Amino acid sequence: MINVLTLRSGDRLELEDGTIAEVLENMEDGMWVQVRYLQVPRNPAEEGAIELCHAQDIAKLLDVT
Amino acid sequence: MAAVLETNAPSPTGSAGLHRTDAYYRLRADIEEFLYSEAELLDERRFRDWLTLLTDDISYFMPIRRNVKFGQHGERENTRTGIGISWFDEDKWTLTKRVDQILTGVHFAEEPLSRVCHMVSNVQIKKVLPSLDDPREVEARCRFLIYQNRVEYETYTFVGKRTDVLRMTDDGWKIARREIILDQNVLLAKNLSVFF
Amino acid sequence: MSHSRFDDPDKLVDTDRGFVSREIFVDPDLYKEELEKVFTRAWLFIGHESLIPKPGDFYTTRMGEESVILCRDKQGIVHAFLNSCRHRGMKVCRYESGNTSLFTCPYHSWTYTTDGKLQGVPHFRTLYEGLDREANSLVSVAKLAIYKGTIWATWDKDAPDFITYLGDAKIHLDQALDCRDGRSGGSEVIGVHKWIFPANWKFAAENFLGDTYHNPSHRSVDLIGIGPSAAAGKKGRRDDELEKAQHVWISFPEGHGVHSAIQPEENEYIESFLDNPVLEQYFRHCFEERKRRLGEQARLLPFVGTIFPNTSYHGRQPRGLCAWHPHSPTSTEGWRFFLVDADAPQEAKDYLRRYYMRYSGPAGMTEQDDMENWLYATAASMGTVARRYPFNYQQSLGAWTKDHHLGGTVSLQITEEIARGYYARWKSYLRGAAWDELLGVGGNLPQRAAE
Repeated sequence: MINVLTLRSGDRLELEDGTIAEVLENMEDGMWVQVRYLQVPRNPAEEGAIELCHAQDIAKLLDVT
Repeated sequence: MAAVLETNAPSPTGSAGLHRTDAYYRLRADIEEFLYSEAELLDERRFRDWLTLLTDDISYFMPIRRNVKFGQHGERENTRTGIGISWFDEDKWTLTKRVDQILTGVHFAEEPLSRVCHMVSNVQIKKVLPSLDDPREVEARCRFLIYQNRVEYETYTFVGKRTDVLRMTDDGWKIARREIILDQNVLLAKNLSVFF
Repeated sequence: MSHSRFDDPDKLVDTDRGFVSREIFVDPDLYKEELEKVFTRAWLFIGHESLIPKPGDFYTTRMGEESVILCRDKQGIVHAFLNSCRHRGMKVCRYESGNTSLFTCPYHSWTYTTDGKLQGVPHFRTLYEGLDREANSLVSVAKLAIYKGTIWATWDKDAPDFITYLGDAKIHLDQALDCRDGRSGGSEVIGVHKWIFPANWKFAAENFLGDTYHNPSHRSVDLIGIGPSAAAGKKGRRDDELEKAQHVWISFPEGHGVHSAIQPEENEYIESFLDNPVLEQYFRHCFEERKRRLGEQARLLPFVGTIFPNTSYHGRQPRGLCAWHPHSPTSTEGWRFFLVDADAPQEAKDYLRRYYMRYSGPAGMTEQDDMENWLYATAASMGTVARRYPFNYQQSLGAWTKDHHLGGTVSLQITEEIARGYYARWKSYLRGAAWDELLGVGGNLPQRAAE
């Protein structure tokens, strides 16, 4: 489990549903980060989408900027 | 920008580098004795005598404390002396006026006089100038618990920390600076008519 | 609609004969009715633009008993929202002020943007198919007004605009909000006191309505002198600038009341800041500039006032706005916002803040005595027998004129006419009156039913 307060823009995440996302902005509430979807296996049409991502949806941190 | 989760900045009130030597304990006992005597003067309502314990250039400061986000405490939690509005940011002239006011006998917020009990504890010496062997100016930190009972049923409890700068004079120790950190946000009292 | 045992407000407030029941200061049912019928309709003061200068800035404020977030959104538009998540009601903001992109509920993480829209819902895709996010925005006030930096709001979509609501009290409030040299607006808040005192909120509101009669309770500060010439030996708690003025006490039909003063025709500067030559020179300069800018109108100076129901101001010294937030029939949270001209010299600001602190609020030498009065007046009015005896409001009954260029009902002597007008209007709110009556359209307070 990671503390999302420590994430920085540019960090890459793997989400619980297999989506790979890049952090755009840390909302600094300890719960939400804004991300861009890079790969979305369950629905490739969503690639490029910008969404809020909740801490409990993050499976792991892939690369730290 | 990610938040800083740990602060490595030294706390302004953290453990100072004073070695716990006999000189330290002797000085601390001396300072404790002074603080207790001061509390006694206030609790005995000897307000004019209390004023004589303050240097002419005293700064008497109680900030307003605010609820701020994690990581912003050092910067934003307390109001600052010299800027904006605090509970107290005073000099000797104002403190003398406060005493004068009580002694008019018609300051109704203190008439009849409150029953007040000052308790001082956790005294530590944080700085000594020039040295423990020749203490001329001392920064002492303590905790306070002040109980106020007014008229019949009104009671208030003020709890917090104090940082005092005490200066040795020909008449003994005097208070040159007092910072009062009251552990409340919205003041849970109708008035601050007691001295801290 | 709740029903209290006081079904007829006329029995509580008799302004013709000058009596107001103690029940309205202590009774829990009447208090609940006030929250429902006064605080959800009237315009309430909620903050100042200088507290939220930048996009994303917020300041947590109150309306009635409830926490409200005052926020400047990312586009720069100012909003006010109930500080309560639409899901389970947790406060979405427990910081006093700051800058943010989102208000996130600690309970289940629903999160709202700075314009109040529900933005993030955990497991939205799997658990909330079809959730109408727009309909689950933070609850917004019905109307919000920014007036010379001050921010006001109402929960009533049918309320008149704020300037209409102010009526002829506007030019008096202006004197508190305008620069000391007569330029319009330009104030900033330099700090806020917040404290709880065990008294009914209306004691505080009425105190500032123009209850000049309570002056004796401040005898102790008047004896010792804490004003801006006190160190130079002057007694009293303020300056002397109104010593030659004609004081006026005005009740406005909207329920507002002010105590202002009209300087004599020659309107010469009166030395007021003898403790500090720099300040004396600065305020003399402000006085002359104001006279040059405003001409004849510069003769009007503010003293105190209350904008119905719970916003009070001190127009000159110690300049500021107070909101008297109800907590219970017998408990009030006072918020005092201290004002200076944003572009005043630093030495003036520093002098003023020191004066404000020694004068005002729970640590203030003057206002400590007010709080003592409000507390024990409330406490001693709770008794079964005490409640049978209404308060006397007969001072200067009938000694007023409606034929005055300042409008409203004007008294040239100390009077409770303002309080009578205030409680007459309070009674209209409790009856659920239409806005025409609440504004006193027609210029007269409603007459009692023909007798």
